[in-house]
Amino acid sequence: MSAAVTLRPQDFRAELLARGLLIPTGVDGLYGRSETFEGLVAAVDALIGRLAAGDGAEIMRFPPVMTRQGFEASGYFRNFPQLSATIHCFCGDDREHRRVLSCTAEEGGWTAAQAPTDIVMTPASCYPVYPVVAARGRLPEDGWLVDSSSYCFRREPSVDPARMQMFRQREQVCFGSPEGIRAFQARWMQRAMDMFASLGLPAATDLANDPFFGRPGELMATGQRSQRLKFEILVPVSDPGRPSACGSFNYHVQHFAQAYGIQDAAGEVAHTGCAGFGLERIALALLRHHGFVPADWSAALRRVLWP
Amino acid sequence: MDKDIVRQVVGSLNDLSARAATLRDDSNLYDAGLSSFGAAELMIELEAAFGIEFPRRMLSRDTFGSIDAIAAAIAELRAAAPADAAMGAGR
Repeated sequence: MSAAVTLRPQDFRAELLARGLLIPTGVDGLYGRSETFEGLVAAVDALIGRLAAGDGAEIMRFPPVMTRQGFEASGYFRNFPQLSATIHCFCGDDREHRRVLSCTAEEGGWTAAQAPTDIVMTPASCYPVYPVVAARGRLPEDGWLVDSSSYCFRREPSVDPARMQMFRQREQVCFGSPEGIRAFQARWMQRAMDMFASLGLPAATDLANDPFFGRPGELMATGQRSQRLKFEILVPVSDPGRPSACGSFNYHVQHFAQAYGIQDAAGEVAHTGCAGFGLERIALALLRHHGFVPADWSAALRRVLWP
Repeated sequence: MDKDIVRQVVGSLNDLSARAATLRDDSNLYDAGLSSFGAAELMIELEAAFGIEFPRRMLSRDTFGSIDAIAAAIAELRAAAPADAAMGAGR
């Protein structure tokens, strides 16, 4: 194992910045990426793509925003107001424009007339998929599978490079029966564990819950855990003592299907699940465990990433 | 009586309104269609109706599993702090 493993969390970040792998912007959790880092993210993305290749999933790609209508239907703001971000725009005329330009900071400055639009930032890459699948009508007999990926936004500024405000997810989204979703969840957890082993990364699965907001959120979190709906695969990234979730495997029961009106072939409310990977986190885990120069990594590891 | 109020709150939830009339006091509310969303909503509505606050240790699925379970939790809270509960209920 490389000396990178023994780095303190703050030194890991400093090293990423000093080597130019991540480019600081002055805002915590918001980084530019170097050619090397992007190459690594692309390799991880392609590797996950190869794992999914035989499944026949429909590829869908969206920009990192979704419709406000779809966002509201999902209940995201109700559960995660602290992570949500909305797109606001100036919709006034030139008189209003002059007014806001002369607003003092106390009056809100240039943002004084910003108003919510019909789009919001995508919190997870699978979110824009549900309304699209719902609008097609009933699912086929065997359900449906979608392969999604996008930049995602979560308002949780942190100096930990493994906790970015904007990052990419690659997610498989499954629509069907409870048995079908549970099988999908188990299949992807096994694939992911095999993938992390092939990447030489120490990975462990754990039962998890989403960071639901407030006291009702605690009840939702305990409910999610007791029903064993969410599993994560954890890999040490910034802090060896506090591993980061690099994969997330979720059974939503009928939450999204109910929210969007997704029906199975018989017209009943369908079940959904997703299996997602944090691409930057996996790239960071590789840099942490194998050193900061991918060109120096073992031939075996390089063959897994760049076959 | 507490159970009647609990039943009223339960029946007002989107998840359960259609089946409220057929629910027994010991019926499992999750089996009857209560989602985790609905359970959180139920908690908030019960707190408002009874002027109580469920402590952290009670924020589990089981607490809200049936009308009986909810009534027992409320009784326990009142026994622990009768004055507070009475004050809350009068708000």
